[in-house]
Amino acid sequence: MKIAQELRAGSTIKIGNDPFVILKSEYNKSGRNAAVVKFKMKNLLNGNISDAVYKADEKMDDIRLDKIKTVYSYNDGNFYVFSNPETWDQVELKEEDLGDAINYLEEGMELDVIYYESTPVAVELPTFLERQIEYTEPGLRGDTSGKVMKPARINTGFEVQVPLFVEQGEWIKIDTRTNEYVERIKK
Amino acid sequence: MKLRSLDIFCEIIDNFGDIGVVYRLGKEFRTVFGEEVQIRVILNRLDEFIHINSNVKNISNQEIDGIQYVTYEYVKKNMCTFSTANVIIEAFGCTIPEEYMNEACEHSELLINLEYLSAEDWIESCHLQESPSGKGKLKKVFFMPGFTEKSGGVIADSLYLERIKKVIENKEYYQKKFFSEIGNIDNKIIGTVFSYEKNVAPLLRDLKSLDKEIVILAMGEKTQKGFKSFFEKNFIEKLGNIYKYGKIEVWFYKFLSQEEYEELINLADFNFVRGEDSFIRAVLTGKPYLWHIYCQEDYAHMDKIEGFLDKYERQLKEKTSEKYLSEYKKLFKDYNFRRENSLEEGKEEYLFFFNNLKEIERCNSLFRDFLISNCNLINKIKDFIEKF
Repeated sequence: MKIAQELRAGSTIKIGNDPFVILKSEYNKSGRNAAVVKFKMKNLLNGNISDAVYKADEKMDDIRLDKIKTVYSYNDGNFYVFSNPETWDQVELKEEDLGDAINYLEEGMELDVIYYESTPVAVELPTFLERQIEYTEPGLRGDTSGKVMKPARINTGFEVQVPLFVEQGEWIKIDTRTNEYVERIKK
Repeated sequence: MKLRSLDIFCEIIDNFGDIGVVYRLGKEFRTVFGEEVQIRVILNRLDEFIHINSNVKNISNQEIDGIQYVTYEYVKKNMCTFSTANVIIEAFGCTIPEEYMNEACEHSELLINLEYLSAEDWIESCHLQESPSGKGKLKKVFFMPGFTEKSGGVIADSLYLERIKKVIENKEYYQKKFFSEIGNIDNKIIGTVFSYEKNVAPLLRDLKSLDKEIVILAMGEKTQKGFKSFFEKNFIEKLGNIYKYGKIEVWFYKFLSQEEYEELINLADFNFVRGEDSFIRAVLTGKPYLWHIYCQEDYAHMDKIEGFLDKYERQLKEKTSEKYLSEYKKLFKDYNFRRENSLEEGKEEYLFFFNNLKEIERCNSLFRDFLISNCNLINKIKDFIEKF
């Protein structure tokens, strides 16, 4: 069992008798309300994609499917192509199968492709990723509180909210479950 | 779907807000859905309910005004004869007893997880989203109250709207009921203040500088503690329960029932309120108000304040000046900016508020009208159940 907030793009769960893969996960909290997680998820039996909301601490029945380590190679216009570094077999996935992973995808990136009954259905991101900030507005050097945030664009074009003191060119650690900034990294 | 029976679950923690909302919901659903629908409210304890409604007895199963009020304990002990409703409301993420849920998964149809009022944009994307459990036929959905058409809206119950009308049409009667001890109220500005711990020095200093006759009705222990703390350090005249500070009179007001509080805030010239339930009551008066929001860790309450002000501004930016909006928003934020509830002095300045009571009332009435027409939570729940 895992709690909903621990699940991220690529996680697989069972609801009733149906297996699902999480394509997108979005964590939100408002004041006194219980934190909630909104999932975009794909039913692996019928391929239907649906949205669902859960309390962040709700217990979910996570299931383990076969995973193969791959390296992202290229996008041929229709498919995202991954290759198995041991066998050089190629695996093709559609954009909708990638979910949140598309925000971080870059050539040569290692990630797991998930299989359901011999068919590749999704990829699983590492929980944390390190990315360089390609662009962000200059911040305030004196502000080290980390409370006030600003948008920062990484190399894939995806925007992450970072504290004001984080500057362009710096490397940051991102939690892929929430797409949130964790800390600065020295490289 | 045809609603045959409705169970509303509520776990009271330590205040009157949650039970206040649930009590109100129950009464309004009784009116909206009619006598043929069985309505039960299931509570973990009764102390706070007894406090706001003198008809409530300390017993585990009782009927008041056509609604059955039952305790969690009663449900757990009598589950073999306590059939589940076809629609269930889980108020504010409370835990429903396992014995009940096991039955509900098989026999009930819809579980509405009614959340606290929020104002942030993201709530729209979660509102009415399903939360599949894969157990039985019961479907669970999230219902997110808020200040926009695409959210769950606010509770604008007909009982309250009728009460507002009654107070307006019978102003003299209600003035006698609530203000008879104040004496001559002509030319006096009368307002209620109901807050968490709050330093009132900036308020009283600004009011004193206005040189107007102002009466403040201080409601609740925490509010009165703030005033007492000021009066201990400043020269005042004390006459029984009334404190005089220049031309300002502060009355320590008694605890009122939900219905009386609603009458009073519709009679007053302004209302400073606390918590979500009282805030919506104040918003629906259309009178000038300030909201002392429940304080949260990491200033999370400020996101909700910003969210509310954003929705307020969206409705009013074409109808008032930028200066008005920026001043009112600033006061709202300064009034609430704090790491924790304390008697530490805030930075808020009230002169804008008291010098612009008419314009604030005009704008607040427009915002109230928008909410009643487009964001009525009762209608939204009713429509959702009927279309489900």
